[in-house]
Amino acid sequence: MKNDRPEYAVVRNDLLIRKVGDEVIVYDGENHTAHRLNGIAASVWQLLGDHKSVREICDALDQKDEELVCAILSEFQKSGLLTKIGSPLTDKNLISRRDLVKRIGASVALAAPFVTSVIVPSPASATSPPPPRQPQRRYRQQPK
Amino acid sequence: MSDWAASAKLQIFGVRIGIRGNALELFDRLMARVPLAWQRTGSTSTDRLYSVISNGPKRSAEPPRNSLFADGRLLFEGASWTDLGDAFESDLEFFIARRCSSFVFVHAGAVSWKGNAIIIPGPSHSGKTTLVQALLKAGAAYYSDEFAVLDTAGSLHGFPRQLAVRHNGTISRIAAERAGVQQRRPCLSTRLVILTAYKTGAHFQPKILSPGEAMLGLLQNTVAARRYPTLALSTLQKTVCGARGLGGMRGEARETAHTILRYLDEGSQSNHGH
Repeated sequence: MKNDRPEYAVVRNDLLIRKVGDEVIVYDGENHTAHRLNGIAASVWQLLGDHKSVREICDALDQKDEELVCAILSEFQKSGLLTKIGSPLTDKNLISRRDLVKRIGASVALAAPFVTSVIVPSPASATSPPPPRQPQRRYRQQPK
Repeated sequence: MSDWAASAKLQIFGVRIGIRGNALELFDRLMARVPLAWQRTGSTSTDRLYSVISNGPKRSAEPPRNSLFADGRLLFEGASWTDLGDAFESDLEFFIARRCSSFVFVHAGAVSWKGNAIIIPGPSHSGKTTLVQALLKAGAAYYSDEFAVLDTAGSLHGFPRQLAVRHNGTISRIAAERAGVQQRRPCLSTRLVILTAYKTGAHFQPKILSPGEAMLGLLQNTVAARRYPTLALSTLQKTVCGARGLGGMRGEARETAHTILRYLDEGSQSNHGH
């Protein structure tokens, strides 16, 4: 039987990373998005950065099966944080929250979402709009 | 010979601003709208030059028309001094927040309570100014109702200005002095980051946020995060490392302010969560 689970994944190397407590904040300057990886996802991220395989990551996290790590990898992939994955994550091997609860138990699955993403605003959308004022010509030259 | 009645070159958080006017009264009105953190500078160049010109009435019955330019581009033209001041203040603050490369400007309300900084990031119309006002009435000290200014160590600096209070779609201004603003406030470590927005009928029952959630909330409201992402991330990382985060919808500002200050006073570790 073909094993369609990923064996390894490669993280993008053009991302800005900051560790905050046991979490990690990832900034993607290409897409102007920021991602918060929760504690378990941050551990997987760290191990991926150390070029560990999925099996090695499971061992390091004391996970007997690969369901949790695969679920985290699928969130990384959906968030655009990976450049390469050993076996493409198809609908078949993407794990839903419900399946995850069934397979590994509610306590770990409730740690999800593993990745929370926000759009980092452009300067104009991060400030209060100016007070309304009369319409005006915008580029009139200043008199000398 | 210069046609300008008065001019000044200022430095505000490292950004160099020039202001000049052909009428002293207009120039003084602009200077009154500059954030109080300015210093005069002898620098010959400016990052932005504002020129205000009183044109005088075209007919004797008309009020004088005033024009405001920024780097030669018309920002405002009209008789109202208040509107001119609003246009100037809005453009100046936005320019400083966008250009500044040594401080991080987060769109947020900011106060201090017993030497601890409280930052309330949020988009426009989320009720920041109302909550800042309620915190001031409860005894907190004003830092800003528009920008939390953070240095590279993650400490909060004041950005005192006139409070802009929205009511029924109009904006009214409360003078800085009336809000208890002092020109110099000490920089402070941040102890609390609050992610909240007003919702009719809600009661503020916040949940404790993780440092990552608090940092994401700050980053979402950081003006120059796209332009200076490394500075923004490093600064916010330091800001949240000594802070706690609270998040949740709020109702009445007074009740929320008391909950916030009580939480700080008690140093509570308990989760008020849902």
